[in-house]
Amino acid sequence: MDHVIEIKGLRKVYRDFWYRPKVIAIDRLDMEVKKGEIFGFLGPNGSGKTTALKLMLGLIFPTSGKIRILGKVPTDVRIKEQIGYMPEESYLYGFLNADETLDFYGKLNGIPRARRKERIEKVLDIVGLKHARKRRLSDYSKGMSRRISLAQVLLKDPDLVLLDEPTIGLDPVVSREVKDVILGLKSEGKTVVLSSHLLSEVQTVCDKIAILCEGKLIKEGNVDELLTVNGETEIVASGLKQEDISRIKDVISSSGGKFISSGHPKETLEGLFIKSIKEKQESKSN
Amino acid sequence: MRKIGFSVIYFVLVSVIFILNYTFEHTAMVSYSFWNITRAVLLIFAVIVFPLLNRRIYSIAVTVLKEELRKKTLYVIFIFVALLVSLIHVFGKIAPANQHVFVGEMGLSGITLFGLLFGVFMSSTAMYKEMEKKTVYVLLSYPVSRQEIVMGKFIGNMISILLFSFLLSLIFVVSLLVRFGPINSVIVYSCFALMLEFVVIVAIATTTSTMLSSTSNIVFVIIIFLLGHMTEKITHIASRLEAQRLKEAAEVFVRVLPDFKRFEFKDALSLGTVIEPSVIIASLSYALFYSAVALIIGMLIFRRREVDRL
Ligand SMILES: Nc1ncnc2c1ncn2[C@@H]1O[C@H](COP(=O)(O)OP(=O)(O)O)[C@@H](O)[C@H]1O
Ligand SMILES: [Mg+2]
Repeated sequence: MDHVIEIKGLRKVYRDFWYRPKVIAIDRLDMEVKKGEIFGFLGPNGSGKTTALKLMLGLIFPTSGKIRILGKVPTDVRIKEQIGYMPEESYLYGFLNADETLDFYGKLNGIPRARRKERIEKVLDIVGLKHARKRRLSDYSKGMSRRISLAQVLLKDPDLVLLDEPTIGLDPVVSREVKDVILGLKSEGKTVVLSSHLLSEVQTVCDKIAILCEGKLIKEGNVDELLTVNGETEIVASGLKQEDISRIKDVISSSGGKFISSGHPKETLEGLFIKSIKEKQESKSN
Repeated sequence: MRKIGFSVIYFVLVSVIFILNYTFEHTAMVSYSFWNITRAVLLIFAVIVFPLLNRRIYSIAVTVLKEELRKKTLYVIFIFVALLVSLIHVFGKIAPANQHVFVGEMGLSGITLFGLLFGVFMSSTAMYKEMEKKTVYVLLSYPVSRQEIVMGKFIGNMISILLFSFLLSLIFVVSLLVRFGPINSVIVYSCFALMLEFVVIVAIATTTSTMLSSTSNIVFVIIIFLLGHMTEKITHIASRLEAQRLKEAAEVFVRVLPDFKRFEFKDALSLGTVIEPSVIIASLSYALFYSAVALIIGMLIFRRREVDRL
């Protein structure tokens, strides 16, 4: 099976109490996600990203069109063992602690007791929640809620992972960790579908993207191909002096090219932030 | 891999019991007492044991039980009612001639009050809260069917209410034994019958919580509770109606309503008549059968429910 997700002519119309059409949340959507891809749904708020994920999970039903997930219809319970879902916010039970939560979901997924214990230790380690494992989820901060929500996904060791706005509302450190987990999933050969309206996030992790607007697919393709500015070349070098740069300019013009700009590359603010926080924490622990 | 879904087997089991019941009640193939007991055993298996054998339903039910046991308000209500029923015999002096009846009725009313407060409030929100808090989104990303979720919620709420009403009944009966010595067996039967009534209420509330918001469901279930205790009155009024159509409609209505009179033995208590155990066993079958039908409807509704439409 080549396509993990196959969607054809999908439409979702939300109706009001009198069954009159209210919102066309998804409009004639066609898309395919291949095994091992990291696929990003991009779009402004209200463009239908969450709706698309809800349809893929069988939480709601299409008005028309066809969806196949792992070769089956979304309401088929047999495929759910292989699907991990992290919603926009933590929709877990506030009265359970982290251990109980993971044990409950592990049981639902049919993971045998010994393996469940082992996996719970492992995923709590990955998301860094071992210190708070006995605390009720209702007492968790937003970042911790997102981590336990992610732990619930990793626990299943799923083939297909659906993440709805995985880094929204998180501080850059947690956000970075979540992105690392996503890249980890990729290296294990998992398929990941994530939605986001934070463009830089998508750029750093996704292979393929689809841009949604008012429920319609307006652009789709490979991130590298879409973002490559054709006909321009970028050179990054170190240890150059001012006169070297003017020599390079000469080389460019003599080979028929056009010099556009030079300057010092900037570190991203995210990188700077994470580096500073790390330094501070390390100096504290020493 | 599961081949046949839980709800299909559940439906078949309940239907088979229904058909058997229809056959045996209208023929003399087996004796009444034999069928009465067999029917109760079959229903206990189909409605309680069989769902609990399902790993996913069991896990959900245990989680519901945990949720209830961690609610502080529950303990406040419980302690209040426990004090009430254990001290109620003090009020016996008000009616010295028939202390037994008076105290018995007061205590049973106390337990009913608890069952209503606890049962209605907790199970009325069962499925609706799952959708409102969106916890069902994550639940449905697991290999558990929508029908199993409804059943798990029901079983969990049923076990919690049975647990607490059993404890209350125990406190009540023991306090009476300490105060009066041997007591009328009708009181013990009534306590058991009340627990059956709670099971029916929880089943109805779970089913309607797939459609109604928490507040409207609480109101709805309380109305059903009141109407279910007035079936005789409704039948009586209907019999006086002129219009044939209305009469028929009223009869259908009464048939659809749960007949809570089956769980009430006030007359026997005040007249001092004896209740045969077979009556209680028949009430048990009625409660379980009614609950099963209600839940089948609930599972059917929730199967096609879009969980983000509130
Ligand atoms: N349950 C609902 N009832 C009616 N309209 C809805 C419902 N859920 C979402 N919508 C509408 O569908 C559109 C897409 O919403 P959504 O999928 O949540 O967007 P996104 O996740 O991209 O921000 C929005 O216009 C939203 O108002
Ligand atoms: Mg969204």
